[in-house]
Amino acid sequence: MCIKIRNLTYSYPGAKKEALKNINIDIFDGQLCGVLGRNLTGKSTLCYALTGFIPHFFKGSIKGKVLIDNLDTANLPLHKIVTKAGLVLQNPFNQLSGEKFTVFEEVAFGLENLGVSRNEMIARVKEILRKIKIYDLKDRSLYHLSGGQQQLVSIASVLVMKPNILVLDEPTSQLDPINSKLIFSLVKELNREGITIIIVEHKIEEIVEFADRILLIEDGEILLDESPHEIFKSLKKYENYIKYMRPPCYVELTQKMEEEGLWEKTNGYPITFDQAKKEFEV
Amino acid sequence: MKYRTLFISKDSPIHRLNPLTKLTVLGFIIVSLYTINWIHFPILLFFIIIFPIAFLGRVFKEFFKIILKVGLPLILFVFIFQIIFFTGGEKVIWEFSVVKIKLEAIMFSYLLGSRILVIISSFLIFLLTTNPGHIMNSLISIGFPRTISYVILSTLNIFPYIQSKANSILDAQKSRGLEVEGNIFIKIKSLIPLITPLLFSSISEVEQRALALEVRAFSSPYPKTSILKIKDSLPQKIFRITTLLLCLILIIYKFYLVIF
Ligand SMILES: Nc1ncnc2c1ncn2[C@@H]1O[C@H](COP(=O)(O)OP(=O)(O)O)[C@@H](O)[C@H]1O
Ligand SMILES: [Mg+2]
Repeated sequence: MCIKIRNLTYSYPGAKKEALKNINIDIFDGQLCGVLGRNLTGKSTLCYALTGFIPHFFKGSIKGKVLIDNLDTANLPLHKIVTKAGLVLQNPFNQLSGEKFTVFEEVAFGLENLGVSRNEMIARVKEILRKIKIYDLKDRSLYHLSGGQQQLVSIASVLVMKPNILVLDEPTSQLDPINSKLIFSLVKELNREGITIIIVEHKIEEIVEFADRILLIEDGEILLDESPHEIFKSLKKYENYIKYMRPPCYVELTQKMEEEGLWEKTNGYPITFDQAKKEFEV
Repeated sequence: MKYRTLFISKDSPIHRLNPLTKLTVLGFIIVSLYTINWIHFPILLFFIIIFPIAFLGRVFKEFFKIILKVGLPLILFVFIFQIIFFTGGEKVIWEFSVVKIKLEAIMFSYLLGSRILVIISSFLIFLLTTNPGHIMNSLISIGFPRTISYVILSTLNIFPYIQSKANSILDAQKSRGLEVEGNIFIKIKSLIPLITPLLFSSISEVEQRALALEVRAFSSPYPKTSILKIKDSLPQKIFRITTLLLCLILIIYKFYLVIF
């Protein structure tokens, strides 16, 4: 077991409303969790809770606890947590340290802070840059990168600290479709290598394709915690959540066709392109 | 893309200097500005020291552009402000209703303006030719705590920061139909709605920045290591010590003049 959240209720300092309400989640090693929900419903707050920034960075009132590898994050200092659970912030530009000039230097920043020796640092930075396929950018200025490259750099700069959990807060919200694809394929690959991933993402078609489970958040609460296939099995089921989350286009299409008698459902609606293709193959 | 540093990566003798050497020269320039009373000293310093260094550092174009766009308007403002509001002085050389312009005021403003010019220029060249990581490491190496060093570095880079922020807010307001181009009055008017989002975004941005640092273990208790190697040499060390001694002599000399 990787992460356990028990009865977590949290409100920001001075806030009247609770940002998270009685959250209970177990996330297992190697899982890929998609987090969905409307704006300002607590997705980022959940990310902060998963990575120890609540309670170490954001104070306020906290009930319940978050365990990473059975250790209570409240008792682990942040510099220990970052080597277990890394957080990639929403806007890649905001994730830059502000004291570095090249990609290589920026990626090394976390290791410098952790006091890793220079030789080891160089080896680890090189390794991660090669893995993420941005090695040829290593001497480029951080301020002359595309949005997608910048996001890859911020992911690299977190991964270099070797966390086995990676939390990504809307990593593609600032990116165009091509760059988004780049990030998605990287996330998939990292997951295949065994890294547990929690990703906040609005692009539903992408997320249902590779997430083991979907957490739907509304107003600080977990409304839904199931596999994508389970969620979109029947209209009666996902109808209740349509206000908070759009179904994948393949579901919308086949559901309409079903209404018009053009298609018959056997085992739920197709949620990905491949599944849809299979449905229509004769 | 947005900028957060003035640094221009090039290979030049100035780029290769140890940042502490450059900082020492910077300190010396400031000390000499305020201890040497000769009225033309700042301007002399500007043309004889600052200009050649900007050339040697291969950042002359950028240096000149920023001085022209930011430095000169600021200096002009200070200059005019000082001339008008200068109290004291006797030799009135021009009078217009309540405004009296005095010779002393002009001389004082000239001294102040040229000092500001030299200080801005020196900082500018330092920032243009020094990798921000090197600045950070040097500050830590002379005993500043990590957090304070970071704050100093960010403060030094306030210009590109404000510029990039202002640009993105201006763009946003332009797209909402606000007039920002035209004569000087339209430009000044367009600055007013700029200030509020600039202030507000800066406050929430402080939290964002702190978060970005903590995501990378910034406040870890371990001694910080460095990916960059800062080169130093014996001649540079000797030069620094001599310069610091010179600073000390200037300061003592100044006090001596004040007291006796
Ligand atoms: N740093 C903060 N300080 C105070 N309140 C915050 C902060 N961040 C978010 N909130 C509040 O917490 C609630 C959830 O926000 P957030 O987790 O950012 O939502 P989401 O990421 O889903 O858009 C919102 O009501 C928001 O106003
Ligand atoms: Mg958010």
